[in-house]
Amino acid sequence: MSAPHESPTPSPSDQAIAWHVRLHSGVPMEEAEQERFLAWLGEPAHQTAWEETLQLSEQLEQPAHILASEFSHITSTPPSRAGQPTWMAVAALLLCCVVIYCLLR
Amino acid sequence: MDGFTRVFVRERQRIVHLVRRIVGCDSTAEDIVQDTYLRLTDRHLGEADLSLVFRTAQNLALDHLRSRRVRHEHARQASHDTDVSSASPEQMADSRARLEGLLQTLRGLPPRTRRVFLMQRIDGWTYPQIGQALGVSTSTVEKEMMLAMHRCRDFLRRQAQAESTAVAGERYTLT
Repeated sequence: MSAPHESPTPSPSDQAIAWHVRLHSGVPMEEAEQERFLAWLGEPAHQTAWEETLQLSEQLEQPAHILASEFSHITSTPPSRAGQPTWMAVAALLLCCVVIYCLLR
Repeated sequence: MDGFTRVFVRERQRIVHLVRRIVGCDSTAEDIVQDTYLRLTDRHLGEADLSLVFRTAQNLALDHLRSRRVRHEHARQASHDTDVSSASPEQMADSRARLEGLLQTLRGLPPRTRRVFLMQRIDGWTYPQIGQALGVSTSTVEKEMMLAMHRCRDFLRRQAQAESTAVAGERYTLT
């Protein structure tokens, strides 16, 4: 996961978007990264940019849902969760076969 | 008053300030600070545990941000009728124009960017999950999300600029 401070001199707004994107990645932040975020947020200009980004994010809710319906975007289960039941079923089946084999021997 | 409550009361404003900075809303910050207190009050903490109090509040604030999208959607649906009836015609027109503009912006995104955006916003997939499904790196997913946000922010900036120019024009015509 790339850190939001990597580009040379991004504007506060660009940095706020980078932090927002990072926060919503689904990958937990390390303690040091959280500290870095809070330190960044300590700057008044960054705070303003952050609040604007939160507003932007909220304004995107409705269009996102409309867009999903327009593009027939089918809500689905993420790959890892979708794959889990299949693996569990295969593992259970193998276990059953082993047990039956052992009983019949 | 026990030791923890005394410490909490003394530091409360600082905790509220920290949470407020993260969530950008006074009332939400108050709720999160209250939640922080409730979560820690049975743990017999003292002066030495102050950093845990701040960290708990900070984590709750970040959790709130991550779940904010869902709550916002509920609130939007619940208040939809009220908003429509209480908004002025100008506000409704602005709101419609903003919505239509954002929609156009999102429609105009490159297909993969749009797909990543929807998988995150609508399906709630994590970036690694999206990357795995699309056969791209997590970093690429992150960049696609940033592109979508930048485009929408730039649209809103242009719209705000156009609105302020229009208002200035009206004032000039009136005088």
